[in-house]
Amino acid sequence: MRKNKIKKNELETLFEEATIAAAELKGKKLLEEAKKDPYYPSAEFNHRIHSLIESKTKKTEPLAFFNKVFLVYSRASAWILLALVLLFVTVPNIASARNWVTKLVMDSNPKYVSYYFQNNETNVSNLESNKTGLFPEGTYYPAYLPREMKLVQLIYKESTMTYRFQDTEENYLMIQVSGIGSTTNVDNENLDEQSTVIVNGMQATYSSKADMKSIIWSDEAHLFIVNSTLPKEECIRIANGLMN
Amino acid sequence: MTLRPQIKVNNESDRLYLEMLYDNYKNLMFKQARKYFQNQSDVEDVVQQSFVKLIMHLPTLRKLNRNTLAVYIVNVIRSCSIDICRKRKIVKENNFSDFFEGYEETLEDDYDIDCVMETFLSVQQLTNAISQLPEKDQFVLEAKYLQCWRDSEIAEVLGIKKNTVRTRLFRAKNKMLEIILRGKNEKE
Repeated sequence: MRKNKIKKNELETLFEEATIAAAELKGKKLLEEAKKDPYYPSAEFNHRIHSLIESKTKKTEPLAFFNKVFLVYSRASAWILLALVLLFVTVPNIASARNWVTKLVMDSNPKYVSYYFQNNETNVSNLESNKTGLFPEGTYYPAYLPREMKLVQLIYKESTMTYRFQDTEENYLMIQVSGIGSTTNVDNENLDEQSTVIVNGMQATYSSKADMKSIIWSDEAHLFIVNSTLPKEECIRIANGLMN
Repeated sequence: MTLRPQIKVNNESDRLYLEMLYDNYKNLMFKQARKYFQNQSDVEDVVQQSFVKLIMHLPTLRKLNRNTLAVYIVNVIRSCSIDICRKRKIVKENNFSDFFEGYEETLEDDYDIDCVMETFLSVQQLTNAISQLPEKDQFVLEAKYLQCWRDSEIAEVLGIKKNTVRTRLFRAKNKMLEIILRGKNEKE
C-alpha cells in the first residue's frame, strides 16, 4: 500500500513536470501565432487597462478610511452650506420675482395695462407712456385730493382712465375720464338729490343716492365722472381740480 | 467564477510587471478572446476580466517563464469566456462544446501502478502525449499542474461537479498512457 502511494506520488510528479514541459511548447507556439496576427486595441481600452493597473497597484494609506470619511463629511457639509446660502438668497427675492413676472405678463398684453400702487411700491408698465412719462400725453389727473386719500388703483383701458382712491376712514373716490364716443349708464331711480353744478365752467350733473355722490359732465372730447362717499363740496372741489 | 485571490499588489515593481504583461501578451489575449466572441465589446470585456484575474494571481505569474505564462493567460481567457457565456446564458458554442458534457460520471481514480511504472515513463514521453490530447484534457491538466487551481475551482470554471474534475483528470492521464503504450507497440 505504502509502495503504491510512493509510486503514485512519483507518477504525479511526472505528470506535473510533463504538463509544464508541454505548456512550454504550447506557449511558444501560441506566442508565435499571436505574433503573426498582431492586434491593436483601441486607445480607450489601453487607457482602461492602465487605469486598472494604476488602481490595483496604488499604495494604500494607513488612514485612508478616516480620510474617506472626512472627505464625505466635508462634501456633505459643503452641499448643506450651499443649500442654505441659496435658500437665504432666494427667499427675499421671491417678491421681486413675482413683480418681474407680473411685468412680463403686462408687457405681453398691449391693450390692457394696469398700474398698481401698493405699500409704496410702484410697478409701472405701459408701451408708450414709458417713453414720454408716467401717463399718456393729455391724460387728466386730479390736482386736488383730500388729505389721507390715497390712490389704490389706476386703470388705463383703451381710451378710459380710471383712478380709485381710498382713505383710512374708508371713504371712496373714483374718477373716470373717457374719450370720444364713450358712454355710461346712470342710475336715476330713488335719488336723494339731483342738481346742476358748474365744474371748470362747464355744466355738470350732481346726484346723490345713499352715501354715494356722483358728478358727471363732458367737454367736446371727454366724459368725466366723479363718484365718491365724500361730501358734496369736496366732490365739486375734486371735479374742479381735474386737469391735464 | 471566483478564483481565490492570492495577494494584494501595491508597489511600483508590480505596476511595471503588469504593464509589461499587458504590452507583451495583449496580442495573445485578444487573439484567444476573439476565438470565442465576435463582438468587439465582448472581446474587450473578456480581456479586461481576465486581466483582473491575472492581477489576483500575480505571485504565481512571476514564477512562470514566458511560454508557460502564455498558456496560463490563455487558460484564464478561456475560463473567463466560459464564465461570461454562462452568465449571459449564451447557447454553448462549438468552441466550448468539448468542455461541456451532457453527462457526468465518477470513476475510481486507480491506475495499475505496477503496469504503469514498468513502462519506464519519461517526462519527454508524457510531454509528447499531452500535446496529442484533446484540448479539454490539456485544459484540466494545465489547470491542475500549471495554474495550481483546486478541484473545486476547476469545477466552478467548467460548471461541473468536483468529482467529475477528478474523473476528467484521470481520463486525461489514462489517455496519455494509452498514447505512450500505443506508440511503443507501433515501434515494436
